[in-house]
Amino acid sequence: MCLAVPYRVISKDGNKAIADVFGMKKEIDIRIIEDVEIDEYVLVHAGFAIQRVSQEDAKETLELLTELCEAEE
Amino acid sequence: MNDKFRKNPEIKPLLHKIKNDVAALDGKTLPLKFMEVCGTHTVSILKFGFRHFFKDSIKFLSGPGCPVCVTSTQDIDKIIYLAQQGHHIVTFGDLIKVPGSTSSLEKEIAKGALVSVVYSPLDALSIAKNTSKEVVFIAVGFETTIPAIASLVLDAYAQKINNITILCLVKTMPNVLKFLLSELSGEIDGFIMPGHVSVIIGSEPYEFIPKEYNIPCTVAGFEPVDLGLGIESLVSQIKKNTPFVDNRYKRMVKSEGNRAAQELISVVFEECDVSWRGFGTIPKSGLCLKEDFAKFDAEKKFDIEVEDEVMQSACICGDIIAGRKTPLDCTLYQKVCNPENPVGPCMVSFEGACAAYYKYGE
Amino acid sequence: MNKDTILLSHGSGGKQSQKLLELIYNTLGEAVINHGEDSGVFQAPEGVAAITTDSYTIDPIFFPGGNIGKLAVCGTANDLAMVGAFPRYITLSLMIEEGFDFDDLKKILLSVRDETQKGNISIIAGDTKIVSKGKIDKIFINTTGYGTIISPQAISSKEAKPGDAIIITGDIGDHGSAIMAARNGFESSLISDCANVAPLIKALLKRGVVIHALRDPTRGGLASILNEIAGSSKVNIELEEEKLPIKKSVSGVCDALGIDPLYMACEGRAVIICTHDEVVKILNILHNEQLGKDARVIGRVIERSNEPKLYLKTYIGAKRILPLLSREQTPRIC
Repeated sequence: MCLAVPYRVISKDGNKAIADVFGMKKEIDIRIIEDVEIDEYVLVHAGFAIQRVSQEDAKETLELLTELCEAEE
Repeated sequence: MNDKFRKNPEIKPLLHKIKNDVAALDGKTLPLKFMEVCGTHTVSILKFGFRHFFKDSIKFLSGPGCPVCVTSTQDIDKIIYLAQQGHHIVTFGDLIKVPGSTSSLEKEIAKGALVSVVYSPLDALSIAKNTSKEVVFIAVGFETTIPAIASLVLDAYAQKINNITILCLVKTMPNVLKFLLSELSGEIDGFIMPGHVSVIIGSEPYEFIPKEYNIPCTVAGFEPVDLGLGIESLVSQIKKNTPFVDNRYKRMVKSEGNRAAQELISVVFEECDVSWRGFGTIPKSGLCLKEDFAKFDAEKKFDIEVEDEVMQSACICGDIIAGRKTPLDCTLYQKVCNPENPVGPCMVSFEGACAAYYKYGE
Repeated sequence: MNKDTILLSHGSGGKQSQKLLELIYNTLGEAVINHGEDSGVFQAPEGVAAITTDSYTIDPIFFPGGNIGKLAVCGTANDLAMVGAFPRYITLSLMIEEGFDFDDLKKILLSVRDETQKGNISIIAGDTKIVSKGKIDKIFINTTGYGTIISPQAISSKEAKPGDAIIITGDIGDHGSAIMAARNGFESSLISDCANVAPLIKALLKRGVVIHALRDPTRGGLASILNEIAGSSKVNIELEEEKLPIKKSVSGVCDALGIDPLYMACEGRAVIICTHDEVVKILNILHNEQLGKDARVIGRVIERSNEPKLYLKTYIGAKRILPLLSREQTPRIC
């Protein structure tokens, strides 16, 4: 259901933005993401940004992983 | 950043922990049965080797698969009809090989049909601007894709592009889950909810599952770490007997979902009953265009003539997805239905239950 | 003569045809021998020779890292190299759509000239046909390649043996991903790996290295040709995901489009299957060559099998099967 990957926003122009994914640039639509910032990561599906990526939550998820692994030891 | 969720050295200890936790469970028949609702999860589970790793502890059941695979034969026939009428069909690559009752887009292309494969629905608008032909975008997808499709319609409306329509075949998640749960006979020990559909609809719509059915749920992402954390949550919930909807994909999914996306969808679409390959019609499981946007509806603009759906009585995909039967119980399996000539969604889907059985001999 | 586009009259055999031929010969220059004759005549060398034939219909005809002309020469040379033959002669048959741009034709022919000269290959015969608009897609090229076997070895897809090492000469999936990215509107630094690997193979065979099987992972990619070898040799093969050389940009575009780099074409790589003992020698030779500098062992042949399978040991240490795909990969949304 749904292939989506994080892209990094390089430039914006109204509803559109140029974003980078591993050195490849593509025009994406950012209309449903409020106040997108340059260098921010957004989750893109079919050329359309559907969510901004929360770096804080990403960090917390990785911390949860470490916690669970330590509990096992 | 993605690397930390894919090639993380902590993934192995996590997976071993899960295996040990499963083995230590009291009073549970093994292997545990987890259903991943989403086709992309099925692919990840297979691709990263989870299926093999958890062989005796967890059995992964593929759910309603992917929106393309559950597109009914009659709906495919509508696409083929439009292609045969000479309209310019614009579609995602996934649809090209899905069979209708007598043909497929692939076969029509070989006969000269005008078909463009796109990466984004919005590409259909550029195509429409550069042709005088009628362009029909085949709108398949779940909630993840629907905001992009809604944007296509809104842009066409705003820019007064009159030679474009969509064939609206989109489907929605929560009600098919309700239907599935009422059909499921075998015990499902846990659900892995679709990570990216959840980005749009949030985790709240799944709360009825632990509440009414006492089944653990997790919202998981698609990288090995995300899937591992999701599976760990389910096992932990089983251990503590505290089923709830555990969102383990927090960097992308909020419990309320993406409100802007939901609003965008509600401007353009409204709920309706739609037909699913293998299941028949499920109430309020799809969307159709609101009256304001009727002129972008291909079914209203064109007189699409197709045969009534003849339910292939021998196709038991519905039973397979519901966990009642396996591909080996199906009389069509291998002899009539195979990856080159698929009948139901379980074989159409690249990694559906039957396609997987066929390819990997599971 | 219309300097801009090819017309049907350029194929009718008269004055216009002469002018087109003149352009072709002038552009190809010394790469062509025997021109003006109906057939190419050459002194057949003694010993065993190899012949291959191929048709090239790629779309887009110009892609990052090359064009259909370069692909035609390299693809033909590589096919010969895969049986241990060094390419000497090539025939060039062009089928061109009415309305094709002359400048594009020139660019393609210049690439043909460059690749044949680099590889010491002579164009010994040729043909040109102009086809009505719409009856062919821009330009198709057909070739026949002739080469002489460098050293007598039974190099064959049937010769892979249990215990053999699987070596790849460089990163995988570059060509297929560059094409996919171009077709889907991605602006990228991805470049096709299109190259003639015959000199690389020659460097190995001249040093007396013993090779069991050689294949170039073109259409269908690494996983497809290893499946074919597994089937022909009746063996199970296992690859290790950690060892696979894949550029970040390649795996990025594959992630974004939902395709698997293991099934993406390479046009300048070779898969070498040899005994474990030959590995160090082979890698030393390869690492001294530009095209082989990233060569590495990526797996091994495990055991004989009546139902041969290709396995991948994934990052998490689990095994999965890499099947032969029944369909070509297209970008997907789910």
